[in-house]
Amino acid sequence: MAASGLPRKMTMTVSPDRIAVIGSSPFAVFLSGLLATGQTRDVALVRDPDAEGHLRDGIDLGFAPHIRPDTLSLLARLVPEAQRLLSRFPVPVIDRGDLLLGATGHPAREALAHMTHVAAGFGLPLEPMPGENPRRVRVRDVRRLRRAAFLAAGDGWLAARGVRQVHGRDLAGIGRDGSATIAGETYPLAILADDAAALVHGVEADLAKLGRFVPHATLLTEPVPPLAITPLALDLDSGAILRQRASGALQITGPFSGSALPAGFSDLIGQHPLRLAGRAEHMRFVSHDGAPVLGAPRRGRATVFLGLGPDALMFAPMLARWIAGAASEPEAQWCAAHGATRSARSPAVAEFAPVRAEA
Amino acid sequence: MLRLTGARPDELAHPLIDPARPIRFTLDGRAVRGFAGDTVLSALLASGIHTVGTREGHPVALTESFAPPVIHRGNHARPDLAVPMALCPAADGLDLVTLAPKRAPRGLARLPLPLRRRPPSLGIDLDALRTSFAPTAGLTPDRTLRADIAIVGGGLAGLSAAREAAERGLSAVLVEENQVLGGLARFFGRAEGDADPAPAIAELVAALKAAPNVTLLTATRATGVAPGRVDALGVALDETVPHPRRLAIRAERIVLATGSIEVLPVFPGNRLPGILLSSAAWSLARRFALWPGARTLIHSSANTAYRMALLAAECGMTVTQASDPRMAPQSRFIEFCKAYGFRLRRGTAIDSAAPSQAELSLTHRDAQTGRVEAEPEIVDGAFVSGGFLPDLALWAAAGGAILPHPEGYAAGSEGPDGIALAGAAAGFQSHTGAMESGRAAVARLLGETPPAPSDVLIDPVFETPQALPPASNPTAPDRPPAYFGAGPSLAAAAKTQPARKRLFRRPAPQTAPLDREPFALGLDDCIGKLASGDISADHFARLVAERCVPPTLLAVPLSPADQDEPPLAVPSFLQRRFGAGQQVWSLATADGRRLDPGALIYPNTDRATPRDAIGAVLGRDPDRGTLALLGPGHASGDTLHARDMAAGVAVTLGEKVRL
Repeated sequence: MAASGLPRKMTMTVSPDRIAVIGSSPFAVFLSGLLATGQTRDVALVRDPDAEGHLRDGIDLGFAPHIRPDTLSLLARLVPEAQRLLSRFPVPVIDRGDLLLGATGHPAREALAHMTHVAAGFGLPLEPMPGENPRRVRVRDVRRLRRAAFLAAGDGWLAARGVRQVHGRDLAGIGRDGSATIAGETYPLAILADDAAALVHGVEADLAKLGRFVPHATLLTEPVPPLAITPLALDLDSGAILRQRASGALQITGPFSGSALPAGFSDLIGQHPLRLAGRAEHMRFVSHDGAPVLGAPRRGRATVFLGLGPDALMFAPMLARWIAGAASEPEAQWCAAHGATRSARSPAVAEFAPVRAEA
Repeated sequence: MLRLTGARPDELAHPLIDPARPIRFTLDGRAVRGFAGDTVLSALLASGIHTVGTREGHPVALTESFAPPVIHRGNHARPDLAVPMALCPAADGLDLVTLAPKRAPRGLARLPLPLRRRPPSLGIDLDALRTSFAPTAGLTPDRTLRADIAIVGGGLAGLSAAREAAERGLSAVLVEENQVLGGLARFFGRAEGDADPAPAIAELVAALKAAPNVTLLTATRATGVAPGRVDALGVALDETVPHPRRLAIRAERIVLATGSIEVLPVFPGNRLPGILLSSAAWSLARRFALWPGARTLIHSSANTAYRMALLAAECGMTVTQASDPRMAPQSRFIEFCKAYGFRLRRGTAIDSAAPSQAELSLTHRDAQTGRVEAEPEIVDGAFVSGGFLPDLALWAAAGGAILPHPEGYAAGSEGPDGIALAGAAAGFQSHTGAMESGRAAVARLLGETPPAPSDVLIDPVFETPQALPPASNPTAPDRPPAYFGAGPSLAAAAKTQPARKRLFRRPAPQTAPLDREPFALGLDDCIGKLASGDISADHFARLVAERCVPPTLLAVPLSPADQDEPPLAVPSFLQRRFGAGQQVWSLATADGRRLDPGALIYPNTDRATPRDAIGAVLGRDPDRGTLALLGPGHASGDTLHARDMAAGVAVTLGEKVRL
């Protein structure tokens, strides 16, 4: 065993030639293209057609508040790789900006303190801010996906890589053997690549020991004056992410209902009244130990990639390799340790989990 | 706009204004004249102020569905006291200001007012707008009314529902945004075999005014509906100070008789001053005797809008042409237009509109081939219509489903508890259908199964069904925006990028739609997006559910005050972080320095990354000093190296600690 407690060598043994990736998120799109090109698989992407102007249920960053050094170490290598791959899109899909991590309650402040030291140890540009409560850390120069541009260019990018795009209604189902049947054709490996896909295809019961789906909402407000400190903030207490859009509107995603936002954002927003301009509700998988869940559950059918967090996109190149059996040893170890067959609270991978799944 | 005088058809002959009682008030320091019976908005329009301001350098018309809120000058620091100008009665001595960013005057506009013409604009900088003109929903009500049934909409369906409730001995509160009851029934005209709307409205209103258990609230806008509750907004004048009158109506049963919304054809310049939706124009003419000008044209893909040509003729106004993108529309109204000798143009769409001096220049194109006509039509105003669809905005906001279909959309069969649709909102097209559906809605809410209302429909051979207006061409950067709807969202089609920029560099991604459309959308915006190809039918329902929301205020609770720190413990995210046998130790730094929680501990100064760390500081215990979590294999007195961000320090282990 390594010092981290991870098994030394575990690789994904399934490596079929035909793979169905099911999901509409940027992660699903990116993973499909990478499986088709980097790993030369015959890939079908099953997704509901997206449209510009919908409120999307998340944000894709090149950073997330991890505590485990293995994860941060991996991410340090994966972020430049993902950025290089994304730079091949016909339009710029990545921009950069500062991210503010904030913590108010004791558990979140404690977690922030630990992740700050670990991230700083890897040379990440973190800058603790003055003030004790909320405790805040600014992360400089975080990569951020321009989702609208990415998804708009995604069709052409996928087509150029030979990925077959299929509407969700054309998926006949997922078999007990983990295969997908699409318009009479069988794809031996089905990957449920986002929360919505996993929920639709009924893996909730299969994953009950590892976590559960928690209601989340994305709110859009009318424009407000520029936020104090940064236009992008993550509230560790709740896991909510706040982003000020180019128009000045705030887009907030988190595990809340009703019209009350997390208290951690209060002094960022100030006294300006926030008027609702849009609202979308969705479910998000939250693991009991706060760590991602990868692979096929013990009694499950399809392979799942869930709970990856705001930096999910950065893991796509590695997960494509893992699926194809081409991951490096450290990568394979990391994936195996985060496998969907692990115990309910795996001490080797546990992260800070803002939304306790059993709450 | 001008005031109609002289002979008029009966439906326009009894406006609310009293020309014998002129009034005068000020808005943003400018004198406005009107008549008793005017609203602030109608007085502004009658005074020649037809523009709200500019967006992307182009004027945007002042209309009842797009007007800035106004507030008494002394209350300008209390935006919660602002009121919609379309609901605010005009009165002598009002001293009002608009609450919106103003564009700084440039050039001659900086001259003092006596030396220049007053602009026909409120001067609002719509590019800088941060709060939409839609009133905030969900605020604490000033008054709560309770009734057995609440009815939203005072057209034939709503009035019939109220009467049905009254006859059953139920208490009812009806809210109607307009100053008069009856809705658009008379505008739609009467088909053979259908009920005559004018006497029906008169009889219903008389009966309801006499009913002791019915409250009729006109000039009151429903701003939100949820099971058991209707929120509404009116305006009360306290001498010369307007105040919002926020009502909450508690009722177990709610009838939504919200009528129809008229679709705005999407073309560049479709919200320039002078361009009016036909129903809005009719309503202004009916209540305030306002007409957009002596020379107008009509452009419609629905038959009802042709009535404006007939009414114009009866008022002595000129209509230069009536264009229709449909190839062979048939309608009794079109036959009447032929009899009047109007110039009718089929298969013709509006390509764009542009201001022309004080007039309006409209360019047409062939709806099939797209060929643009060389000669624009110069008019004072234009009545436009892209057809009528059920007004389901409140239904959707209450959680009701909306299902798209090729001609538009309809309400889903499942709705929120205790809420029923009636009239045009429920898809009924005739006056008979509206009235019967109003009564049936009350019966359904009471748990009965009434017979299906009968709708008097005309054979499509005689009345060509309306069509959603054809998709507009992409908007060039120099043209005025092509708005999707007529309301406060200002959502508009994306403009094309100049081609030359692409020669030299990768194209920049277009502004994301959520940034182009930062305000809540209206249902008309969504149908405009659908009609113009901006979204597909697959996305319509989701867009409505996500973006057609009442602009409620979001609460941001203050951060909780500092709480007592709980006793130190090993958090779950550090389980087995340093191996299976990790233990808690007390430690001390060589120089007495305090270490922050999370500071990493290494065996020596050589180790480089946190993967090599053998421990981490947990925090400070009041009795035992600094405590750290360490992997196995250490002993009291060991010297290790702690790294607290950039600073390194030697530490000495004390004793093992059990937490």
